Amino acid sequence: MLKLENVSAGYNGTDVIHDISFRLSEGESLCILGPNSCGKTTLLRAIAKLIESNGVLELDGQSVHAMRRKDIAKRVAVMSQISRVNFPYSVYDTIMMGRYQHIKKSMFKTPGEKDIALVEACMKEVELTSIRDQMIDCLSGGQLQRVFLAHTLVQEPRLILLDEPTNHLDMKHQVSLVKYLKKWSKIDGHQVIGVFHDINLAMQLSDNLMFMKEGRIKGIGHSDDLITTDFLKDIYDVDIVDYMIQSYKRWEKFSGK
Amino acid sequence: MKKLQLKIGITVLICVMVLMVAVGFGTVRIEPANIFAIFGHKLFALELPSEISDNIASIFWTMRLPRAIAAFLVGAALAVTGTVMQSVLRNPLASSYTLGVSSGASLGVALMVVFGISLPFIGNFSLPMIGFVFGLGTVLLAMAMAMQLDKNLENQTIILIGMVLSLFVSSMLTILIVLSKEHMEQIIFWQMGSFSAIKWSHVQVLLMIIIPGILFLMYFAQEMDIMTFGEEQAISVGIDMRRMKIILITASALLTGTAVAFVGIIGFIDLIAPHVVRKIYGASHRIVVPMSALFGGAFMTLADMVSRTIISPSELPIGAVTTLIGAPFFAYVYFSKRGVKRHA
Amino acid sequence: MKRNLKQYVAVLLILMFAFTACTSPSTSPSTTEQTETTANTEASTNTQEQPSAQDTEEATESDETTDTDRAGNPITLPDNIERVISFAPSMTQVIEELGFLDKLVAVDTQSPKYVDGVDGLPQFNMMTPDIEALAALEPDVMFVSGMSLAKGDNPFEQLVELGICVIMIPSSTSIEGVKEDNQFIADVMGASAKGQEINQKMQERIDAIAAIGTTIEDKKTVMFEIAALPNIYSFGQETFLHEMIELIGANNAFADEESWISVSEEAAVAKNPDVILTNVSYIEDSVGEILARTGWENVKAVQEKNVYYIDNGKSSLSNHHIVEALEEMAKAVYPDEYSALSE
Repeated sequence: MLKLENVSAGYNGTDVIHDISFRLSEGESLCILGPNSCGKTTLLRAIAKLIESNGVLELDGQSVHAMRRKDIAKRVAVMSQISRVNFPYSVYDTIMMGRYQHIKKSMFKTPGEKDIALVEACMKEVELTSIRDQMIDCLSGGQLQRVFLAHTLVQEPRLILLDEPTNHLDMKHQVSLVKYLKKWSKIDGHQVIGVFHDINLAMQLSDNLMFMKEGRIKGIGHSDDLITTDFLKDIYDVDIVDYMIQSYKRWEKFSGK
Repeated sequence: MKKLQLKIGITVLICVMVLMVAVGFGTVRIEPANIFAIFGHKLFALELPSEISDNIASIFWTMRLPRAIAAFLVGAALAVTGTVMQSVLRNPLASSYTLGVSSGASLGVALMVVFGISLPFIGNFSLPMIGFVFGLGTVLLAMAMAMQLDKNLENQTIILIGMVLSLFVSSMLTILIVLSKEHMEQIIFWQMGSFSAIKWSHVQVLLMIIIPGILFLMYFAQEMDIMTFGEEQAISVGIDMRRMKIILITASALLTGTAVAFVGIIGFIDLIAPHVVRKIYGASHRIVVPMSALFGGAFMTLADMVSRTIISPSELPIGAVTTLIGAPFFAYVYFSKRGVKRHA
Repeated sequence: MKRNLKQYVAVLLILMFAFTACTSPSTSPSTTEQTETTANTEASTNTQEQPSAQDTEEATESDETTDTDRAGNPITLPDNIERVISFAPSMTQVIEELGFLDKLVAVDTQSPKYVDGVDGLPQFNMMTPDIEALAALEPDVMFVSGMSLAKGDNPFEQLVELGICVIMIPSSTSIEGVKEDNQFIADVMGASAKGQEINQKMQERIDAIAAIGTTIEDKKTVMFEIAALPNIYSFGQETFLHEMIELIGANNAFADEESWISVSEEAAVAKNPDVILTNVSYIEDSVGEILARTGWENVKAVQEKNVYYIDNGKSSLSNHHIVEALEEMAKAVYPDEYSALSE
């Protein structure tokens, strides 16, 4: 259970997000949406304790501010957008790095049976087993994304934070990634918080939406309850609903053919 | 995997060969067979062959052998710290030198020379000790200042403060030299770097510090791998970046400080070794760090051999040799294999 | 491929230039580093090669016929020479020998160590002299040695432009050259006869040594250190010290080198000299230091304790005192053969 109360955070002494309060229960997921520089990424980083924040920030009743890095890592994993890498690590090795918290306990930091089994399983899940020995600096964007997804999954977190993970992916991979995350979030009390630009894609992950503007929460709840023309106009300064309907009509024409 | 093992095997072999060559060449050429004979004589009191006089055995045992071993150790230390610093600070030009080890050690040595200080109990080791303390001290000071200024200890902060402090210390050194010109030559000679004064007693200290130091850094290979993906990724996986940076940078400064304290400032190896080694062995630090040690060690031993044979009976400053040999070698390795890998 | 080659060459060139810019040439610790060759000796017209027994009675205060100094620079000697500045201890000693110490108005900082009676005079640093103060002293002539030119440019050019007679006497590389230097100074000071006398005495003592030296058959190898660890300096040919080693009937360990050289410890030990001489005076016990060196235990000179100190002043200043060093060396290397030598 993630709880935020009156959280504010920012950079260089200036707050970017203000007065953020919400709760996320076990098994629940959340999509954070909003225009550029509304504070979505800042909020995400505050939750992961990548930046300092004020206010109440609790994970399963424990204050995140007081938690040690390794304890946070055991529960929370951040998946950022990595579009290209320059270092020749193999797919397998890169994924194994996600097991850091568990491996480092052993004497020479060698992966144990459980670690290996988990990595193999994840690789299979994201269909990377065939390229396990390839170097990651030679992969396509889609393959790379799957590598980092697996890397995140093997960390065995309970909460995954995603920052616009589909930005640089083509449509097929966008869809498959979100589908996979949704599947994962249904298991075992897992939670996913994803920052999205694309509302449609976001709704593929979860109907639980949070809209932000200028560092504050403008609305949070089920999409059915939240979305109205006026509401979105206020957030984005553009009539999103109308735009979507126009697009829908165009697409409807295509399906008729 | 097989290919990697082969590469490693070849590297080890080359190291052994380089050591053999280095101890065999000099003002007097000593054949491999005689090298073993001298070992037998010194360790097991066997008879020396007739063509090897006691004097030549002396040269080999008290001058050449410790010197070659010291060169290997120092080269290994510098290469490893170069690799570690570049990984930690994610900057291809980063090294302990840029954080102030070299200027600090120089200042310490200069102060000792100018004011004629000699420490009690350690006599002969006074110079290395002072050089070490000042060198390490400068880096620690830089780190402390960086920690004050930037809670997150960002790389940029570390590098900038290190550079500023290093330059400041250098200027103090310049003033000191100008005010006491008669010591200028001695100080500058020291700075140029040389293995000529190395004896077994020095090698013992070097062994005790450098080998554990390198092993210590190797222990963090995994962390360094993860750090290459960026600070946020590393933090997310659970690495305490601040703590890790402090540990790795301090350990590196310790190694570099030791090396510099004994032999002066020998550059270039810490800069190019990481690049060359990564080109050949890939990115995994579990391999790259020890291979850096071997590469740096072999290279330095070779450079030392050249420095003392090429204008015999005089010696070239070793810093010049490492750069003269290193630059073309580096250019060859780096530019010949360059090519942007295409994405599928 | 071409592009790579260009980059390769560019990197190499840049690094080479960077290196040469960074390493500064260091001056040798010896006071006898020479910058000119002795080829200029032809130019000085007033030197007499053979020591003559008679004094030339016409010795006047001015010998205007000297057109060039020992380095080949054109000079104009003033008629009267009353105020003299000497910029090297070797020359101050010659002036002392000639009896003109009272004409000195300034010396270099090293001279008082070697010559009594000049510490009251203003002293100037050999390398970085204060030109204005020098000019203010209004000297008639200034004797300078090659040491002051070690920095590259001539710090005394301004004085020359002011009309002061600056006489350059580069350190000589041979005993003959030393004698010519002595004579030259004597001629300038208007005491040619005294100069000849000094040289004659020198030659007599040299001949005495040479007579014994040539009879020695079993020549010992001698290594002469002019600087100790950590950077040992010695010398090869084209130095008067080398000549002196050969005169006494010994072989210079580094005879196949030229001029002043730094030698690695290994090279020195490998030479395995029979005798080691040192004129190092900046360490308290330079002989003891050599005997205690690790790795030198099996060198013949060390085993038999044939390590001796030769007076620093007498062996490093290029003037008539070198014969005293010569005698010291002879007795050190061949004590039996030269036991009969007086003084």
